[in-house]
Amino acid sequence: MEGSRRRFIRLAVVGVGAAGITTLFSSKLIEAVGFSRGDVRAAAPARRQWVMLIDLKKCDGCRKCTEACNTEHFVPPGQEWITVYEVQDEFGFRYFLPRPCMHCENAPCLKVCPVGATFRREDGVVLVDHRRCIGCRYCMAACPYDVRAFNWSEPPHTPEELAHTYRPEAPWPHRMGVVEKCMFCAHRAEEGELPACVRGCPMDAIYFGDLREDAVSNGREVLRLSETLRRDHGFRLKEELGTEPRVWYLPARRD
Amino acid sequence: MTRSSVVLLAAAVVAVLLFAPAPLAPTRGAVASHAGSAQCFLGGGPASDGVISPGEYGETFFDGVTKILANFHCDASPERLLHVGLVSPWSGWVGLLVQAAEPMDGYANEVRLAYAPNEGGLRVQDAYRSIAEPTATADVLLGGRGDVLNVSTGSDGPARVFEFAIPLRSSDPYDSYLESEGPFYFAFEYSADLVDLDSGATALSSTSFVVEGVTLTGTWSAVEMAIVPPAAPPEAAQILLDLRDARGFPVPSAQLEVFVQTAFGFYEAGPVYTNEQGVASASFAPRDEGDYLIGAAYTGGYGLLASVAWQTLHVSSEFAGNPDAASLVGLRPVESLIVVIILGVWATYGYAFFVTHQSLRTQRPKAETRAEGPLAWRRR
Amino acid sequence: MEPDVSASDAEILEPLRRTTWRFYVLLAGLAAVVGWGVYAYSWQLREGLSVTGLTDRVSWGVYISNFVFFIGISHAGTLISAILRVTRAEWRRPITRMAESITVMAIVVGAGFPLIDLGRPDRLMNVFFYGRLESAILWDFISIFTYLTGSLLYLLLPLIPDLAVVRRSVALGRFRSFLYTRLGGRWTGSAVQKRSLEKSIGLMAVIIIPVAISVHTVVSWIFGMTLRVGWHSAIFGVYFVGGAIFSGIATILIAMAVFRRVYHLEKYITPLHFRNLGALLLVLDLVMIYFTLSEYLTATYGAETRDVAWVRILSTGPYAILFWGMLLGGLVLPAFLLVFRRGIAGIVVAAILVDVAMWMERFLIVVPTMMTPQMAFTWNLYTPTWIEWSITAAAIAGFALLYALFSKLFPIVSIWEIQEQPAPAAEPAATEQEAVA
Repeated sequence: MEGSRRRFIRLAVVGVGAAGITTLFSSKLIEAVGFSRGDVRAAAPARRQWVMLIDLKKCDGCRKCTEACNTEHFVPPGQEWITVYEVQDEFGFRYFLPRPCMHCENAPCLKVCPVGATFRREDGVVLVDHRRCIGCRYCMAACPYDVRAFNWSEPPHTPEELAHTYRPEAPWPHRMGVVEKCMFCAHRAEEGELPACVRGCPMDAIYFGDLREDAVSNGREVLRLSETLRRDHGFRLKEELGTEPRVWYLPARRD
Repeated sequence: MTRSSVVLLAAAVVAVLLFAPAPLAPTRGAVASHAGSAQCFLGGGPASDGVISPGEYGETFFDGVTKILANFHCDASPERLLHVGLVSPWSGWVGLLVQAAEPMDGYANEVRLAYAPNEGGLRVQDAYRSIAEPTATADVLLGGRGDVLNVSTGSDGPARVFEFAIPLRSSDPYDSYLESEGPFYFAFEYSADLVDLDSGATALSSTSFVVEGVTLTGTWSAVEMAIVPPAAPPEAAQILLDLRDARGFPVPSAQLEVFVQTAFGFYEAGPVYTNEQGVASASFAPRDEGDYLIGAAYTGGYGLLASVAWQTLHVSSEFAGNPDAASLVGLRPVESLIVVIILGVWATYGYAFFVTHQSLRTQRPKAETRAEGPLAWRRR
Repeated sequence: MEPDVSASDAEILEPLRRTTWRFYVLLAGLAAVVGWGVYAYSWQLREGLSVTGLTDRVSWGVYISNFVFFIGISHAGTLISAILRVTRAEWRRPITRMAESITVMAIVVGAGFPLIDLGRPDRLMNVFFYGRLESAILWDFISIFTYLTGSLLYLLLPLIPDLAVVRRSVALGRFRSFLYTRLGGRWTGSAVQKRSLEKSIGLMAVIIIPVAISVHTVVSWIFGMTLRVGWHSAIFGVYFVGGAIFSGIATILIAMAVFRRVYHLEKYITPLHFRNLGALLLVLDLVMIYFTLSEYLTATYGAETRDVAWVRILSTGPYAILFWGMLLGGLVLPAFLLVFRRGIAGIVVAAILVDVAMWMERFLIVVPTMMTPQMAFTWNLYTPTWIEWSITAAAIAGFALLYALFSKLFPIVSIWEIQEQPAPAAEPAATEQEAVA
């Protein structure tokens, strides 16, 4: 028995030691066994860094952006990938705040996903792979912007939607039991098209563009992002959380 | 050089938005109104060599929407050839729409050109299209002829030059038959990145250029651009511009448009104005490394024709992202430590189990095994 | 060295020998409740989670509360058995088995809840295929699995000698005979075997304590790692572990009272055990009052907008009755009971109050935080549906069912451990515990 115990100890020490050393010295191991952080699906077609700028001065709360978005993505009823909130401050001043997904650089939803269904492409777009999502809804709990929505039941389908082949950049047909959200119209950006909400906004209040180029466009004019933010006191929502959103706002006019 | 003019030109300013963007569906560029004019001359035609030399064409103008510079020149041959030289910053096809009577309504003759160095080189199509449809059909498919003559292409920095000629008095029913007096209507369109001539247009010039029988003379101008690249982003690049007239003298107090190509249309970094020496400067601060297509255009005036210059600004540096954004990659050693701890816990389980299991195995008397073995209940 | 069952230990084996009709009625009743829960779950599988009261804003509810509650209950075994074993508190002996089995049952039931809560349970294997160590849910998977394995081992090792006893003393059916032979058939009770067993158990007792603490800490981190008000708090780890041990002790007290009455174990489970555990419960009660005070005072004193919104929902929102009920009825009242009513009845009533209050506390951790608006300016409401309540009832019934079956398969009091115990009366550990209280 003593001999066999020694054998076990030897075995265990060698085993644990080997495992430990391999783990310590090979960061690849963690990736090899699937604990991958650098997701292979992170590749984006072009070296872009997509950003959005929403001018609250122009927004009149018509919610046409939501409509355009819902139509574009066959968004299941009850969900809004871009929601327009009505805000009222203590002086009674009212304004509207459209809120798409912030596509945070330091996305809380992405960190908590247990299976890597939520991932961030190289161009900064945070997408959800609905083929992988297990529906734990941890990302919904983690999102500080209430962006994410869940398909609580099987969403109604249209033939047009069903004819489409699913991919995370154009995530339909929709399915039950997974988390959905705004995907910055990644499928339109591929085609050089502005997002549906930008096109749908009759006030031209929403701008979209490339952070690297420092330019955003609402389809009518192209603005220099950094200059505009500096001149018009641009801000981001919940900046203090350190999520580094990719959506900027220009403050509403208080007059 | 005598310039006897049969078809002459005037300054017809058409600032009407002739086409709603909707039917020409894929519009992505900014939409702006623009006034244009064109002039045709009789005389020897320009050389079809893919290079537009100073003074080669009689009339030049620049479209602010499509960023295409167009040169026109009519000659006195029986077909009344209209020589066209286009300078385009787009890698996709460019198209020239010609219409005799109505201001871009109904049907138009269209010439589309593209240069695909890896796929057969220069492509040309003489086509016929309804203004309401974004795609055109080749004349030859409709039973007409392809009458685009003297086609050549070349490059001017990052921009592409197309030179060609079309007969104004074409006998092909699918071409617009242009009487000598005019007015004629021209418009441009382009595809930003597709060389397939049957693909839809990205944008159409918002203004048609009307050619009428009125005289206006102008001499050519030349914009020169030099860019001092930044040491590293986000420092600004200096864009130095120099505007000179046909005799090489500087043009002072002229307005120059400067624009930088972005994902969705051009960012206007201007306008800037030339000083006494005909020099102006603009700055552009790229946030990141990469190639930036920068253009500067003089749209004409003071008896001068339009001119454009294109350059690519190459900036190299690493896009660092946000250094403050938390990254757990640095936690690898901690992660490894946790893995070792977990393995240690499991090893302890294994050892505890092993110790008891061994004692049970070794201490089991043989005789008892038979009496009290797993099948003992059967014997009861 | 065959351990003998003296006549005095016959009561322990009695439940294994004889089963009354009342037991079968109980079994049938519990099975019916579980069956109803399975029916409710099948409904949910077919229709999706829309059959629950959950919404996009309150996306976690009763299921996650149950998960936290049951994993908390599972700390009973660790504390009673492992800590008392390591500190050599001899009075623990008759109750270790009950405590250890609670641990295993509670983990099994509790770990089921995240799966019930999944939108796509069919894709559970993705956690293995694509698991990301960065996610707290994966930490949870690992720690709970580790804890379950350890607890199972820690339950089974001390069972081995008893199974040898049972195998010899009780007329067995085919199934049980096979089971006992497989598990403990090779036990002879030799000195070497005893030494090995003691060594294994001692090792497990030491290792299971940090594992148990890690489990509820990691459960708390699922919440603590988010940026939400009411969750994003450094106290969460210890708050959860404290609450877990608190509810674990309460649960073992209830189990002790039930088994003592039903199986007539008065000889083994004495008022001393209730007093000692009651004292421990009081200590943990005071600890929980202290944690709760720290948590809410910190949130309200600075009066940050979001904190105020959250505390307002807790104290005046639709679940305010749970909040005040938990504070007064589940923390303050039990403290009074444990100080002034030190009989078995008083202690058990306090334990029941504590268990109910701790479920409410878990619910109040999960739900009001999600009700607190992050973007909009109105409270997000949540009302659980009959499906959620049915599955919750089924979980409690399932827990009781597993426990009842366990008590019929294995001796609920560890025979060999009490045989090795010195006289149970004069126990220094007990007085120490009271001194702490």
